[in-house]
Amino acid sequence: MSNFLSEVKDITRIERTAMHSHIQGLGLDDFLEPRNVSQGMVGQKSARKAAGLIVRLIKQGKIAGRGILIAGQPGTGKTALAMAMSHELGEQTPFTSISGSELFSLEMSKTEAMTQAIRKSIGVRVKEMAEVLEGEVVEIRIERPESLEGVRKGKITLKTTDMDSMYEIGNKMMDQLSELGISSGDVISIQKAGGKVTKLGRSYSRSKDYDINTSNINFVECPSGELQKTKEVVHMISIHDMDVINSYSRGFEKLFLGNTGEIKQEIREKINEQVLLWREEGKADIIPGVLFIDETHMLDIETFSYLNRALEDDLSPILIMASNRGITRIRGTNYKSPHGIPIDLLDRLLIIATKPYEYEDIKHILKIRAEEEDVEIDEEALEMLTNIGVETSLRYAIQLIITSDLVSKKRKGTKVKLNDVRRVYTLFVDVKRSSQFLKEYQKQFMFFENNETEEKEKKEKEDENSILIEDLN
Amino acid sequence: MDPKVKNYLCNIEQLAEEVLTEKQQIIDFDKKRQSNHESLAKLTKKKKLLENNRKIWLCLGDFFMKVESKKAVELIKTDQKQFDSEIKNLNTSIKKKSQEIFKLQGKANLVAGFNLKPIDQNITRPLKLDK
Repeated sequence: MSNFLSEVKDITRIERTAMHSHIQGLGLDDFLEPRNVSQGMVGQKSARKAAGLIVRLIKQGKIAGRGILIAGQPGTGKTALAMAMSHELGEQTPFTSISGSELFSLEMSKTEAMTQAIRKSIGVRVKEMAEVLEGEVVEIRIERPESLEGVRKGKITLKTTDMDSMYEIGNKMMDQLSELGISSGDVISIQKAGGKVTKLGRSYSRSKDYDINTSNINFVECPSGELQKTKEVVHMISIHDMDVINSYSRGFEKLFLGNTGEIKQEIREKINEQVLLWREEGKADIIPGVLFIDETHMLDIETFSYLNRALEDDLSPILIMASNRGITRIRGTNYKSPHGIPIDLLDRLLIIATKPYEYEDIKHILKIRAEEEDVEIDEEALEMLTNIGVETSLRYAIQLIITSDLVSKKRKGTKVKLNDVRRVYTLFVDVKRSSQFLKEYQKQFMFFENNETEEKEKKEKEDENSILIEDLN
Repeated sequence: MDPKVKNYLCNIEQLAEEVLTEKQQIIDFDKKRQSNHESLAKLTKKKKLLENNRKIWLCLGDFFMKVESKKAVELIKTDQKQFDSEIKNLNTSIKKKSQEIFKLQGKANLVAGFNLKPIDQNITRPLKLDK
């Protein structure tokens, strides 16, 4: 029976490898120089060095309310760079990652979605302090009076490895103890303020009391040191979570269900006031985190104007944007602008450029991905894959890794060989081949109309000319 | 050994030693505090004793003293207050020293936030911070 249960647990723990799961950090040495292959990052040295510098500035708190743009062709490691930066910043820094199109939804307005994303990236660190009595129960003695109306008297003796003491307890405490089923040998913790009792487990010294124990008993050591301890716990909570909890009476439920709806501005102002007051009183630290917006060209002119203003706020996180568009139209207008971002916002951003990868880098990346996805691949097949990556795109080559692994497993091989890669290459087409195929056979696809394509081709030629003209200017 | 390294190691060891001594002190103080608390609980229940202000034997460490019960209660209470403040001071000192030790070891980020003044539980409990 227990074997079956452990199997079930293993199945639910299947790890899914995501596109960027191999990245552990930026792979820089102590002098912020990037190592060629390190922590999952390959090549792209100048971008990584710039990112490393920015991470250091963020950690020192010297770059609040600024923005960074990572720009480059598709498949040049923009999202990977952002993931690496989030790993470098560590768990102590709030990192929110959204995609440009996520801001547009029917449930809430763009500005609300934007505000929520921004506030999710600002953290507040607070400390909770409680006086607790922690010890192993030696004995619980309850004296019931002879008549039913009399008052019960209760005494509990707690001990640690260094001392023991007896306390008189009232009715409510006695009720709590019997509800929790606490008996001699249990290790408990009682909060002095409020009198809440928590059962921490059973003492090791009592593990041999009974021959058979139920599986849900966890044995702990008898606590050492003083009986009455001051416990301090430091928590980090984002300002958005505080908004949510304060705006609904059962706010913490909504926190987990995701749908928070629109939050009133007055509540936000109250939270801001409270947090700033705490900061002044030394009760809280405000930690500006990072908001990463991928696919920035999907944002429209209104969201850009909002961002402009938001960046100048007191409490504002660091904005990192990624875009793979060249000179393109700003959504919501008819004007063209580099990366689809208005020039006044561009002015406030530090731009990191990413370049397309070289043959050797692509080979390294494919090797790392193969390791990450647990695929063994021989040298010839790796070279073929690298060539495919150079000709078509890095992403396509990465997709071929797991597919060729499945093909090789089907023929009961252990390693992926050249023929497996060839087979998958013919089975799955890349973008170039697919668009070529379309051009030749588009007449046979549904909803094809001759005039449509002719007009599109005309417009494309016009666009190309206009870009060329702008370049010349 | 390089004098700088020696200095550095000496500093850490000294701080660690102080922290351990203070921790032991807290344990000893708390022991006395708990026994004070027990005797106070017993004394305050004995109403007849307090009304008549009879003399009782009070054990002060090494010797016994015969004191009026009301005075005894006062004495124990002041003793408790003394213990409470001493333990509080020791706790702050331990915290400072351990933060110093963490900083010297380069792990300052692990103890960030321990300088913060605590926020009342009534406010933090609705925030449901223990996930």
